[in-house]
Amino acid sequence: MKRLPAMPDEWLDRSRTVRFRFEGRSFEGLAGDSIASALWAAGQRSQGRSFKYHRVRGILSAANHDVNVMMQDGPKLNTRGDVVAVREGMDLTAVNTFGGLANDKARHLNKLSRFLPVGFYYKAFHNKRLFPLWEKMFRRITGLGVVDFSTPHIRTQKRYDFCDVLVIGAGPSGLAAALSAAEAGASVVVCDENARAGGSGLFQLGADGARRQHTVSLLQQVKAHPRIRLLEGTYAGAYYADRWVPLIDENRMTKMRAKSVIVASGAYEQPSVFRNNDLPGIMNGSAMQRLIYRYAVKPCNTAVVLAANADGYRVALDLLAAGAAVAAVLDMRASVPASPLADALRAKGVEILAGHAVYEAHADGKGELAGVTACRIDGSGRVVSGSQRRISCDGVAMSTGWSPAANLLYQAGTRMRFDDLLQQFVPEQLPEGVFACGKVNGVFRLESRITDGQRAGLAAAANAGFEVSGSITVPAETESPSHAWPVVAHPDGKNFVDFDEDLQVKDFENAVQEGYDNIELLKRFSTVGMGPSQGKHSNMTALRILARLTGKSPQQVGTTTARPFFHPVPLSHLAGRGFSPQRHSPLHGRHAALGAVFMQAGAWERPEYYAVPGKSRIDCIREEARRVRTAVALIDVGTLGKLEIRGPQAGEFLNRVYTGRYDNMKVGATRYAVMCDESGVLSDEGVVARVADDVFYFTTTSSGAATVYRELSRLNIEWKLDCGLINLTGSYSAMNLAGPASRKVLAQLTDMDLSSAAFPYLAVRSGTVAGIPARMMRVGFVGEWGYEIHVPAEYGATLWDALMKAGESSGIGPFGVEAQRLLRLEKGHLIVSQDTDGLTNPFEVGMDWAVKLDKPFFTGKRSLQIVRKMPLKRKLVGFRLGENHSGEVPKECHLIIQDGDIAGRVTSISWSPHVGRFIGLAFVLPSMSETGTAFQIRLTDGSMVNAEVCDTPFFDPKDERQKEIE
Amino acid sequence: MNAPFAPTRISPLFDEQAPHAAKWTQVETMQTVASFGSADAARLPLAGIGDLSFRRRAGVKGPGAAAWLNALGIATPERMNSWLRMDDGTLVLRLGNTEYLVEDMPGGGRTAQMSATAPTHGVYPVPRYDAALIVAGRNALELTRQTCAFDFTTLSPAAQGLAMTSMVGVGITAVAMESGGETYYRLWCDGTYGGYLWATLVEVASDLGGGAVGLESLGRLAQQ
Repeated sequence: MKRLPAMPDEWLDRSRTVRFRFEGRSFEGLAGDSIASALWAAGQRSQGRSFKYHRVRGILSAANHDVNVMMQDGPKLNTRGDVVAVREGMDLTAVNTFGGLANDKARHLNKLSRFLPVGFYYKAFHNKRLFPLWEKMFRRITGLGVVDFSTPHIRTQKRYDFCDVLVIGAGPSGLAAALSAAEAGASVVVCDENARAGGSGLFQLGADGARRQHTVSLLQQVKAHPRIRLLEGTYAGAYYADRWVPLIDENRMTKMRAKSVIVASGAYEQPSVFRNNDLPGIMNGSAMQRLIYRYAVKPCNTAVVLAANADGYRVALDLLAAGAAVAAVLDMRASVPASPLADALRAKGVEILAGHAVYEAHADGKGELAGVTACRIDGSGRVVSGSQRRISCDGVAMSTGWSPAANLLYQAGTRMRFDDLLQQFVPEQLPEGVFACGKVNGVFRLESRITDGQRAGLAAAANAGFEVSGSITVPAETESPSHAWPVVAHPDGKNFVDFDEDLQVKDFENAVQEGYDNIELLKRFSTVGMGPSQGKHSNMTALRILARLTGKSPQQVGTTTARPFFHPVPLSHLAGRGFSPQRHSPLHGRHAALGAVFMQAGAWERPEYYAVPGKSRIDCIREEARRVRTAVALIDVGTLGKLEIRGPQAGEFLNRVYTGRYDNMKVGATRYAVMCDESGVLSDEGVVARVADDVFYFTTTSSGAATVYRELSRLNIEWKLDCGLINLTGSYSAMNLAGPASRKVLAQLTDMDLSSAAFPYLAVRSGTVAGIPARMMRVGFVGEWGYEIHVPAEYGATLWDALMKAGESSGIGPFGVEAQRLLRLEKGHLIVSQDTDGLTNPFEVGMDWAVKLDKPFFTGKRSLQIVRKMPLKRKLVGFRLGENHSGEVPKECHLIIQDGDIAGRVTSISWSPHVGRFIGLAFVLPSMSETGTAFQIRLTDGSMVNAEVCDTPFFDPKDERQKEIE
Repeated sequence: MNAPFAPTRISPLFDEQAPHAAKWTQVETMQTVASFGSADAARLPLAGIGDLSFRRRAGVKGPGAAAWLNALGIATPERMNSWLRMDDGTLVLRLGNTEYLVEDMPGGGRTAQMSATAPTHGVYPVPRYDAALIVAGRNALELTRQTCAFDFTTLSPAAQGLAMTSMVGVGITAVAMESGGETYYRLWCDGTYGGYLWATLVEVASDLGGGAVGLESLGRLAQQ
C-alpha cells in the first residue's frame, strides 16, 4: 500500500498533512483523506472488529456502509471511518472491542461461533430464569461506541427549502437529469452524499481517462448553471408524502419540498459470499476504485479480481494502472463475453478464468488477507471437486453484482419488479412526481445512464409544469450487471452474508429450516439487514438465498419494508431547534411581576399561585382563597374560549350545539351551557350571554376553545343557518373580580349601576370600566359576588392595573388556578375533563336540569334519550374525609373500594378552610350515592382512608353570597 | 365613578420586549419600543424584526362583508387570499373568501369608521388585536426558511398574494411588500401567541446577524 501520484479528480489537498492517532498509535494522512484511506495508505488494514464474533475487519465498500470500520472520535461515537474526513488531532479508537483492536478479549467468540446459532438471542431469552443473566451479558457486550454524557449540547438549525426538481445523486445520470430539467426552465437542486459530486463516473474508469470526461463535462455544466444548486456532502435521508425529502448535511437537516423528485441514487455493490470473505484486504471492486481515484491509495500489491460483470474487468485495469499486479480474474460466469476490457487484460498478461470463484480466503498471522483458494464452479454455482488452486495475494476485489439504492423509491410507494436479465429489482410503476434514472433504474452502461438521466430530467420538468418537447429512448442493457448466485458454499462456513450482524450462509439455512421462510420473518429472526448499514450489502444476497432455499423466484420472495430514515441521522439533527408555541394572556407580565408560579395548561402558561417569600405553596393558595372569601381578589380568566355568534338564527344555532335552550333568553341574561358529542358524552361547558337580539357571546373551557370553535365552524357550514361565528379568544382579555368587596372596587371605575336590581346575578352588561369598553357578567364560579370582565386584549393590562389600584384599600390581591380550584370545589362546581372523562354523560354528574330533551334537536340528543332510559352506572358525588383525618391524603384518581372491588375514583380533592375538612368529588356506584354513605379510598401504598358521601355545595348552598349584601 | 385615567393600549409583545427595550415611544396610544439599542440600525439590513402592533386594525366577515366595506368607501381585493393598499395607505387583506382585515396607516380612520358603523345583515365584525410584525433585511427569506414550511418566494410583492400558514407553530397571516427594491414581510398572528413568535424570530434572526429593531430604525418601513 502506498500513496499514488496525483489523480485527476482526487479529493486530497497534498499541501496539508494531517496527524492523528488510531488505537494509541500516531498516523499521518493528507487533508481530504477519509480516516480509512489514511490508515490504509499507512499500511493499517485492520481497522475494526465485527459485531458478533469480533473478527478483524477492514475496508469493504468505502461508501458509507462499512459498519465494521466505525470509530469513537472523542464524544462522537460510531464515526464512519470509510467516509469521514480525517482531521488534525483526531484520537480514534475502534468501537466494539474489549481491550483494543489488536488485543480484543472478545475475539475468542470467533471460536465459539457454533454455540451462537441464528436466533441465539431469542432462544436465550426463552428461559425466564436465565433472562436476567442473559440480559446483563448482552447489555455488556453489545452496543457500538460509548456515550459521553458530558457531551456539550449542540443546537442545530433546521430549515425548509423548495425547488422544482430535486435530483438525488450527482453521478452521471443525476447530473444529466439536473441539466436536462434546468434547461427546460426548472429550478433544480442536486444533492449527493459524497464530499464531491461525480459519483462512479469519476472512479469506474477501467484505466480509461477519456471515460471520466463525460462526467467532468456534466459537472462543469451543472456548477455553472444558474438554475442548479449542487449540494455536496448532503444525503437524502427519506421520502415523505407530497415530495418532502429531508436533506442531511454535516450541520443540519433541510426539509426539501420539490414538485418533482428524481432518484438517481445508483446501486450498492454487493460482496460476494465465500469462506473468510471478510478478511482485511478483501473489498468490493468499487471500494478499490474509490481508494485509487479519490484518495490516490494503491489498495494492494497483488490482487485477485472476482468478477461477474464488466465492472470487474474495469477494476482489474484500474488496479494495473495503479501499479498493482493482478494475479487472476476469476469470472463466475460460465463464459467470458467478448469485450475490449477482456482483451486489454489479456494483452497485459492477466489470466482470466471463466466459471471460477473464490473457494476460501486465507489469513496471515495478523488475520489479514494473504491468499485465496480459487475453484471451478458449475452452472448451479456448486464447487467442482478437486478444482481448488491456491493463489497468493493481498487484495481481493469483489465485482459480482449490485443492488439498487432504491430505499427512497420504496418509501415513495414505487412498485418494483425483479428483472431476470439484470438480476435486479427495477421500478415498474413510479408514484406521480417521482422519477428514477441510472443504475437504480436498471441502466448501467455509462452512455445509457446519461441518456436515462436526460430522459428523467425532461419528464420531471414537465411534471413541474415546464414545457418540454421530444422523447428520449434509452437502449436496453445487453449484459447482466449482477450474478444470480454470488455464493460459494463451504463446509466450514464463515462465508458472511451480513457483515453488520456476522450472519453466515448456514444461518439462513437454519432459519428457514426452523420455519422462518418468508422475507419478513427471516429478517426478524436472523436480524439480517437490521444492523447499522440496514442491509445495504446483505439484503439482496439474503433474498437470493431464501429464494433458492424455498424454490421461489426473487420476485416471489419480495423485499422487506423500507422505512425512513434509510441512513442513520445524528440525533442533534433530528432534534434541531424545537418549536413549542407558548400562549400568554395579555396579563402574563403582570402575573410574573407579582411572583406567579406558572403552570402549563394546554398551550397556555397560567399562574398556579403567587409565591410570597417565606410562605409555602399551600399557604399561599389558602391565603389567596381566604382573600376571595373575605375581601376581594382578581384572577385572569382570559384563557377561556370566547366566541360570538351573530345573526337572526344565532339562538337556533346555540340550541343545536348545546343541550340547553338559548333562543328564549332575554337580552342581558346569561345561562350555563353544556355541550355533548354525538354519543352524549359531555365535551365542554361554558356560559352563554345574550348581548343583543341577534348576538350571543359565550365562553368555552380553556382547553376546549380551539376544538369547539373548529367543530362549531364546521357545523355552521353544514347547517347553513343565517349566522356567523367569531373566535374572540385571543382578542379579549378577561378577569374575574371576586369577593365581598368586588362591587365596591368596581364602582370606583365605572358609571354603571351595579346594584343587584340593575345588575343581578347571572346578568351580562356592557359599559366602560376605567374608560375601557367592557362586557361584564355576574357569575359565581368561585361562589362569591363577582364580575367577569371582558375587554379588548390590548387594554387588558391597563384594566388589571386599574382594578388592583382601586382595590388597594380593600385588600385586593391576585389569585391563581389552584385557589380557584379549591373555591369552586367548595361550591361543588365540576371542571370538565378533571371531574369528567371521555365517557361521562350529563346525567352522571347531576346535570339533568341542563339537558332539554324536549328540544327538536341538539348534538347528542338521540344518544342521551337512550342513555336516559338506562340505569346509571356511576354518579359524581361530593364527599369528605373524617373530621380529624391525619396521615396521607388521597389524591385525584385514587380508587374507591367497596367489598374489595373498584367502586369509583376520586376526581377532585382539597382541604377546605371553610368546611374544616378535606372535601372532594368522586365517581361512585349509584347505590353508594346517598348522603352519608361511608366508603373507603385506597391510597397508592394500598392503605385505606375512610370517607363519606355528602351534599354539595359544601359552601353557601343557598347562594346567599349572590344576594344583596348592603 | 368614571375612569380616573385614559386607557393605554399595550402591545401584545410588550412582555417580551420590555426587558430589552432601550427607549419607548407612544404611537396611536400604544406604548411601543422606539429603540432596542445602538445595534438596531445594523440589524435591520440583515434580519430585522419590528413591532407594528400599534397600527389600528379591524376585521369583518360574512357574505355581506365586501359590500358593507365598499359602502364605507373601503376597497376590497378581487382575489381570495390577496391584499391591496388604498390610496390613503389603508391596507386591506382578503382572508379566504368572505373575511377581511383592514389596517390603518398611522393617523388613519378607516377602522374607527368600521367600528362606529352598525353591521348589516350577513356582516360579522371581527375585533382584531393581533401581534403585527415586520421582517426585513437580506436574510429575511432565510429566516422564513428556518421557521416556516411555506415558501415565501411565492409571495411576490407585485402579485400581492397572501398566505395563512404556520410559523414556528403559530398561525400567521403573511404578505410580502417592497421598499426601495428590497422585499420585506408583514406578519400578523393572534396576540396571545405574539410573544412566542417574536422571541423565536428574534432568536433565529440573531443567528443571521439580525434581531429586534425599534421604530426609530424601522423608519420608513413602519410608515408604509
